[in-house]
Amino acid sequence: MDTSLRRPGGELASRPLHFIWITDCSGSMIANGKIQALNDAIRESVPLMRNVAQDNPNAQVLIRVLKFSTGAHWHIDEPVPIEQFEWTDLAAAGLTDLGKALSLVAEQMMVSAMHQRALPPVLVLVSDGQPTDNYLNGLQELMDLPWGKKAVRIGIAIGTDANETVLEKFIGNPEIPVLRANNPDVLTRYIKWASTVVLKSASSPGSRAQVGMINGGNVEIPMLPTVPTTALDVW
Amino acid sequence: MNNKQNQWPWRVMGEKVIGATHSRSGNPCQDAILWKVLPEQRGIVLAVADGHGSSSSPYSDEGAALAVQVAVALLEKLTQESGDNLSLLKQMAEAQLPRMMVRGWAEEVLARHREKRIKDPDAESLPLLPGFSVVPAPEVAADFPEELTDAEQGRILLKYGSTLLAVLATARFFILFQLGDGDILVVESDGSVSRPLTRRTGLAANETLSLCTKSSWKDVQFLFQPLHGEEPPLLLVATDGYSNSFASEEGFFRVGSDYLALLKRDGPDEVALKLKEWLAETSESGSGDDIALGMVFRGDGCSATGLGGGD
Repeated sequence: MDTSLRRPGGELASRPLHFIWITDCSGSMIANGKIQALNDAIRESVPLMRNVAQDNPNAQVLIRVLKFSTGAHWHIDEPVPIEQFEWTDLAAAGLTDLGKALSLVAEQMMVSAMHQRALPPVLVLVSDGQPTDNYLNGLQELMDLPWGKKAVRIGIAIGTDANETVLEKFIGNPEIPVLRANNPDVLTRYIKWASTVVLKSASSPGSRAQVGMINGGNVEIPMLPTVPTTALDVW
Repeated sequence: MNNKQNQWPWRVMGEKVIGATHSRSGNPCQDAILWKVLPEQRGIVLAVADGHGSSSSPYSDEGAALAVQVAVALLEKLTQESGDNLSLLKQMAEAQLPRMMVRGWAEEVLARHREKRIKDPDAESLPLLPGFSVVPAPEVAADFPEELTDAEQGRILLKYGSTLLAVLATARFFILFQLGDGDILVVESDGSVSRPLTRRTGLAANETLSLCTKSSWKDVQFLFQPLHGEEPPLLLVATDGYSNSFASEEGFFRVGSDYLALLKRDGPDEVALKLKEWLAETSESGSGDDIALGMVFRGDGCSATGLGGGD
């Protein structure tokens, strides 16, 4: 008979951390290999994300991918643990219905869809253009939700045609700049930064008093990555 | 008052552990716990607090330590001033305790901050005094303004931000007090577990109510529960690192019935011996956060005696 004292309570578990790529798959992403550069950059970042997750076993990193073009759809709709996550290439065609994408994200930020003990989610929006629908409606739906408001929101602009104002509104914090990538190398750096440095910060936040919480709330947004000044702009 | 009510039913134990995440990052434990067995069997006071730990609250470990000290002192004072009229006591506690706790903590924090600025020569590591655009010389730093504006006070209090949960258990009633995240569980004799102070909605992503926010006394959740010979055998008070470590609410609530069973079967001394190890295991395989856990429990159903207060 086992007379040892067993730890009180039920099953233990690390805290879920939802990381969502929100990717622009409009037709303009075909130009100059932008969509392929995005595919390559995210694929390269996956092993690095696994390393970050491994360093903090108290956070369970769960990945989803949303694509928007004419309409918006989940590319990977069920949260996949980073340990099992494999990147599947995106293809580009159609319009830039960002508003629909943000509405879909908002659905997943509802209290009923989030575990109360979850860590602040990370939302990374990558876009090369102008929204073709009313993106403000979708953004409002997202920002009306506590989890949407407190999510860490990162915006990456691909090329000079990307509307920075839209991305700034998505970020909602003047202290976090839009990251503009004008070539594949810089895009890769920003993608890696968002998927590793930001992820690491989001996986071990402190608490913060309720008043005045904005983007990321209690998550410290780390220093931005340096980019080479000699790289040629191709987008 | 009958004999049952005159009996001294309560005992106390508690522990805190640094979170696994904090251990890895080299950060200190920002949780605090303090309890006191009041003289003349007036009651037991237990408080836990969780310093925010974010960069805007660099002294939150001190804020948490001050919070539990203030709570224990004020709840002890309440028992000294209370008469036999429970209704009057309830009214007084409900009306005054939240304000007194918040104000008492703020006063202690401001005094601590003043002391810190006067004594610490490493002024650069400390926040600037209101009105200074550069780090003041030590003699200037000592000139801490006596009268601070609300905004100035707010900036200082935020640096020490903390939650606070407390229990006062006497032979006639118990009081539950909560400001911010964390959990107070009540365990009945049949092992059923409840959380009388319901969780606030609308908070997410480690956001919490706090002692440091303006008019935070309005956010205090409070319960005054008279006892009529049916007092629950166990009250648990924990910072949120504990509940956040469990996969489900049911799994967390099971700590209540499990601790009650262990106290009855093996006695408080055995439980106390294992408590730190259990909490460390819970943080390691769970939230990774600091955990402070205190238990106020009835002694008559337990197989050991002799626990006292401490921190």
